[in-house]
Amino acid sequence: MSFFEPLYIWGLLAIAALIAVHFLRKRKVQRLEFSTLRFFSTSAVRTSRLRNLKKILLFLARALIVIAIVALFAGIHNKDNPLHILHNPGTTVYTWIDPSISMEYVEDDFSLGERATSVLDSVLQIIPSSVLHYHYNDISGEFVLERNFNSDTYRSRFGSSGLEHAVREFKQTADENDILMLISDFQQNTLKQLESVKDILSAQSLLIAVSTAPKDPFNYSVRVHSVEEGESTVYATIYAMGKKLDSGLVTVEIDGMRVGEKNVSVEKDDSVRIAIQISPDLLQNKGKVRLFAEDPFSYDNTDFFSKSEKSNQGVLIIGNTHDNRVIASALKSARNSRWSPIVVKSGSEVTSGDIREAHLIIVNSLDEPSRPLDLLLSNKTFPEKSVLYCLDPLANDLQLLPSARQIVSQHGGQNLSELHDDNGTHPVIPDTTLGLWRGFPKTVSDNARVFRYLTNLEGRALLNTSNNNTLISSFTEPQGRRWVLCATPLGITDHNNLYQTGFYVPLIDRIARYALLSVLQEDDRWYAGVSRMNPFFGEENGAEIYTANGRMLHRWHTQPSVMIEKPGIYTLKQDGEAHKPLVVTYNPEDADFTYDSFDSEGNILFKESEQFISAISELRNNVWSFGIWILLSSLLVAELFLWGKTSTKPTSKK
Amino acid sequence: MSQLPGPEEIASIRNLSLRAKHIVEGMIAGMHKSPFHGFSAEFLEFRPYLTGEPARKIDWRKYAKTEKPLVRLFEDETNLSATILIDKSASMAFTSGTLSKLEYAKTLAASLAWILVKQKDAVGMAVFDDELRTYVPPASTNVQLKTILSQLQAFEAGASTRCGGVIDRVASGIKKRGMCIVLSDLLDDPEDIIKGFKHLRYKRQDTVVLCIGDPMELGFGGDSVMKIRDMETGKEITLDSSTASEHFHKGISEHHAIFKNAAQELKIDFEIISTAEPFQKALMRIIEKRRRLF
Repeated sequence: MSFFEPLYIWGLLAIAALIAVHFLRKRKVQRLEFSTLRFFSTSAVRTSRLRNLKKILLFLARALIVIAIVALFAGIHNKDNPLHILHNPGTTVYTWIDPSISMEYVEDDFSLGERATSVLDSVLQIIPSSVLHYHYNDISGEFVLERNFNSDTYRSRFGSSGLEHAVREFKQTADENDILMLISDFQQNTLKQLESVKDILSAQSLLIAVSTAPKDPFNYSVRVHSVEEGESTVYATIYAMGKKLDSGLVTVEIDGMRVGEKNVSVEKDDSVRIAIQISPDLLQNKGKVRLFAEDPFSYDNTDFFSKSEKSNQGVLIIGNTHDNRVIASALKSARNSRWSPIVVKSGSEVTSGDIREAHLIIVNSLDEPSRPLDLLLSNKTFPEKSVLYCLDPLANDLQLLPSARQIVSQHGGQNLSELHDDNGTHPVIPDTTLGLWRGFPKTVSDNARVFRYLTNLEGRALLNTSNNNTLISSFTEPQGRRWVLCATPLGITDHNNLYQTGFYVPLIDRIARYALLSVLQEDDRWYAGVSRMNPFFGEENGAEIYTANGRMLHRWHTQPSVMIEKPGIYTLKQDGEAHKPLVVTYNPEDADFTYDSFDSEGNILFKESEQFISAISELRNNVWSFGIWILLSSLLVAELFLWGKTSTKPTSKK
Repeated sequence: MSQLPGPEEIASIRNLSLRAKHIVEGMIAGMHKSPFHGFSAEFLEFRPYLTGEPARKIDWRKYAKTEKPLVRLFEDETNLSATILIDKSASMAFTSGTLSKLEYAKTLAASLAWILVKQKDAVGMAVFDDELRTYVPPASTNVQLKTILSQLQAFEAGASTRCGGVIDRVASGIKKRGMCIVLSDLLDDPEDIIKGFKHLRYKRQDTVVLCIGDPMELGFGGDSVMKIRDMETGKEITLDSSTASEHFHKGISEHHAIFKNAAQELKIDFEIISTAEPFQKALMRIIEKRRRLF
């Protein structure tokens, strides 16, 4: 048993006053010599005793009334059930409902979002009307006082749940004893956010995490893999998570017209890659792939594609043009090459525009300083561009580019040292399971030799030497740029004979594609609701984003980060440039229906939504909630009855 | 009448004779004639009607004949023989104030004796509790008055009550028609007492019953617990004052009601007198009643 307002316990002193009055009014027994007792029958004695008893009962009833009133004011409750704090009339409750798109998952005809609002409605019905309720507004990012919560105002959206921000906002605005209630499906990424911020809450704040996660989640989704113009084929992957997809229909739509379809079946927790052929004259710049299947979450059943983005990747090779022309040639001659345009420029000739046009920047045999390159490498421009940087074993290039020197020193290793082997060492693929090397002709090249290179290269090893030194490695910067570092030049050079071997062309193609992988699959993809660095930030001209039906959605120029709220195909209209399609797809993390739970600990209470509803129903019917009122009412009735019976006035005769 | 002195004031006069004289002299001054009359069965003669006498005494038949107001005289008209019966049982000693019921009864008895003797009527006295303790046969002399007064002064409250039996015995001893004035709290079996009254009426006694009560008997007050002890039997009982008051009031009302009904049937004067009532007022009530009857 505990009290919300223990100070009111002092009210029990009123009982002392009652006792004092009772004893003060109690007179001594009077002794009386009387004329006769003939008129005092046994019933008189009985009546007298009954009156005495009623006086005592009245006193007890009044004392209990005082106790009941004190208990009501003090807010007696069972402290073993932490949810009882919801009954504290002086408390304030802050609520947050997960707005992320995963809450649109439908189970038993209700979405998780509807279930969440229902939970909140149930809570608001049981808490005293004096309790202040603040609900998190996802748009303003603040908690707003809600007099009457309207569940119809709930809207889900793509993007992060924002739980971390909500908790921080609660920490800033709420008092120590306030309650924070988070209602979510608690996907793994949301749970991680909670784990990261739970410790900032004070020990007095109660955090109630109510999970609306589905019981046996499953989901089917589609992801466009590529569009091969030459083959007039759209490649997509169908995923079946949690349940087998017996029969689904995948269609390709272009300009609202179905141009291809395929039936598909996928085993549970597996994926199937399909190819849908389209008539060449129907294959346009952009379209969408749709999966038709019975699916509780349909937002990932459509993916979009844009032909131009997937088929051509521009490459800019910066450095000595003579040495680098072989790299350009290797890229052009690569099988199924999509490298276009391939631009070779010296350091002094390269411009920002060249960098902008390219998807991949290759730096090799740099012999001149380059301001645009320096800006790129110091992340002041084009942070999304990938870079394949070939280091000069004699380190002359690093003298020219302080930014490169810093990057290499920070991520490539601080103990780089030149190694010269006249006999040369072979390049060796360290891990043939790596997707990069899947289907590569040879794991070891017999005739390729590397004579001079830098040792102690750090990062993820992509290619080694036969004496176990890392020859090519990669790392991804926190800002997102992927680097591929090569410990020896890749163009015409005396340091190796790679360019003279059959190993060279597939090597260059694979390494270049690997460098672009993150861009293509991650960095180059726009996910709905996910902010990215503004590609036009710092540029002379900005760009406008238009929806499919021609409405301008955003203007991007001076904002550091930008975002598009919903999946679809948009048009990017850059000032002075040609229009380009911009495909925005769903974020796979939004459709990741794997859930974890965590145990309640300390001031954090974790409950499934059904458990929570039961607990608060029990709260409503708990004797602590209304028992005192019943007791008080009974006592008041008893008081009236006893007072009426004991307050008979003595009769007097003239 | 001007404001009457209260019983406590009168009781401050310790000498009963002086007390009675004080009371009576204050009263008689306003009265023309005593209300107490005797009884006669024999017509004696007519006499002239005196101014101030009640007009009902005029023999109207005679007036019709003679056109003169005349009054019939009977034998023994002025020879009233009265016996005052006083209860001196233990219950009569009860008092909630200064004057006990017994003292009050003694004072009333003394006053009545004074009135009767002064108007040359014979007065006697019987004092009783559970037995007849003192009997003074009626006489009309001043010596008789002194005897009665000294007897009244002398006795104190005694044992328990046997009121009915004693009255019955007194009635047995009475030979002559006359008046009996009973001064008691009547806290005895009503049937026995009424039997005694019936015997008095049978003996042609004009009976006046003065039931003396203490104000506390007539209404308990306060809000306390009382340990009540019977003055006659010594029994004890514990009650709160509200219950005591309720039950006693109900009981004594019923008890008095029995006597009232019986008095009505037997044509007895029955008055309940509180010891808080001024003596003159009590006596006047008796006297006024007597006048109306005649």
